Amino acid sequence: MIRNVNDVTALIDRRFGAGLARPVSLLRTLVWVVVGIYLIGLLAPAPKAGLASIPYNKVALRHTSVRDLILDKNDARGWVQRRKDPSKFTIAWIGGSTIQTVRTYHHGFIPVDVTRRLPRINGKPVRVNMYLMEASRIYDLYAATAEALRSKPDMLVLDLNPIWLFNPNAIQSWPNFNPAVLGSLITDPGNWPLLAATDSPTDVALSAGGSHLGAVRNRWSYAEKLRSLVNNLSPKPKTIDPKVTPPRLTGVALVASMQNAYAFWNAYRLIPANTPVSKRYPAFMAQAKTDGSALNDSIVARTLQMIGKSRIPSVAYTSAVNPKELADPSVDATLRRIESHLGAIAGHNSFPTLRVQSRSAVRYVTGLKFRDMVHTTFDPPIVDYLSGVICAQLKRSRPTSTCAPTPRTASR
Amino acid sequence: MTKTRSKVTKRLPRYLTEMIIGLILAILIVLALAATVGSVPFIYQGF
Repeated sequence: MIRNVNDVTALIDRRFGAGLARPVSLLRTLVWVVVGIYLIGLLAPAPKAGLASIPYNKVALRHTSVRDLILDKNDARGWVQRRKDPSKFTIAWIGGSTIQTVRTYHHGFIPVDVTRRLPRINGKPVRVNMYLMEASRIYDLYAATAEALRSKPDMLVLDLNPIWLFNPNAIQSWPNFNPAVLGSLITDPGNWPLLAATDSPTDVALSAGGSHLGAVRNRWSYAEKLRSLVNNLSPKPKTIDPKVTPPRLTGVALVASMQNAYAFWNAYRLIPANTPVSKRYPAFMAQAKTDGSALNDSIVARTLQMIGKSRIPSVAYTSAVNPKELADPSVDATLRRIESHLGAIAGHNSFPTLRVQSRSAVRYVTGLKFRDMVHTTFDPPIVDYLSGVICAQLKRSRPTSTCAPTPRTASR
Repeated sequence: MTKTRSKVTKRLPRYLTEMIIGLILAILIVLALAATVGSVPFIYQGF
């Protein structure tokens, strides 16, 4: 007869053999938890993340020698690890949206256009592993660079967007990289201060778990399956009359409509919400901190050190900005400040195989067209420039290299 | 041998409890990890 808690405890002990009552029992239970997670990964394997799962590879890059390796922004696997083909000359190209050219009915990529000017290097067909992270910030570039170097490419090209390079308020935009790259970065004690600043205990635990347990590593794929199941259970959404324009929400009503915190920070960002669209990018760039106190400096320095120590021929260049913006003396002065600071950091971290082009490409290249301050719509001039820089740096690093850009044709 | 078998038989409920609870926790953990994966869409505007 159950009269009190002791009777309940006694009953459970009789029926369940006093399971979990002792520390050793708890330990055995934890072992079963790990075994269970391992078995789930084996018995219900998630689809592997491959090149074919990345949208750009399906269409825009299909008939090119360039492949985008970056997975969904929420996928903790970060990127596809592509096996190196020794019969190809592999370039790892890392950058944000500034390595794209976007205009109506056309979606292009600067690395693709460069491979058309440099189809062969050292007698081998050129292949580009592109680490394209739209809206990337400096820490994302650092993480992607660590991964790219691990794949041991024949050459590395890094695009640095001056808008965000030294902005201390926007250092990371792809936190899903943290577990993916921790294993690579933690082996170098020089990275530990940065890792301590950016990685959470969750990142460490999930990185450790994900390295051995497929169910942890592939959780994004499981999440996609779960979401499609849940969506099937949801009621059908109300049809929206296309003739009726919904009212534009502002203030508290706008905030109340937001589904996640990210939407809030995107709307109420680092600059006043009423900043005209044409002034937003210059306002972001003006926030650059170049007095040596920003964490950005450490990230840039570590990135250059990582690249230099790898001894892989590399180019890090500051992407071009719209020359029309430089008509404003304050914008030009800000850009010069950023260029000078990057140049100083590069000077303290110089390596024979690394070329750092700290001045924005707009100082060297004319004829580019832009749709805003940093996104090009016409890229042949920068393609000419980068093709030449790549060959020059390769020959400087490896004097026996054969590399010569083909002439630009009317169609390219 | 009989003594050992008797010991194991006595502890079988405990071992079974540990295994079942461990496996259930494993399923819950994997579900929780999948459920907490973000679904932040790419918001290109302004970038």
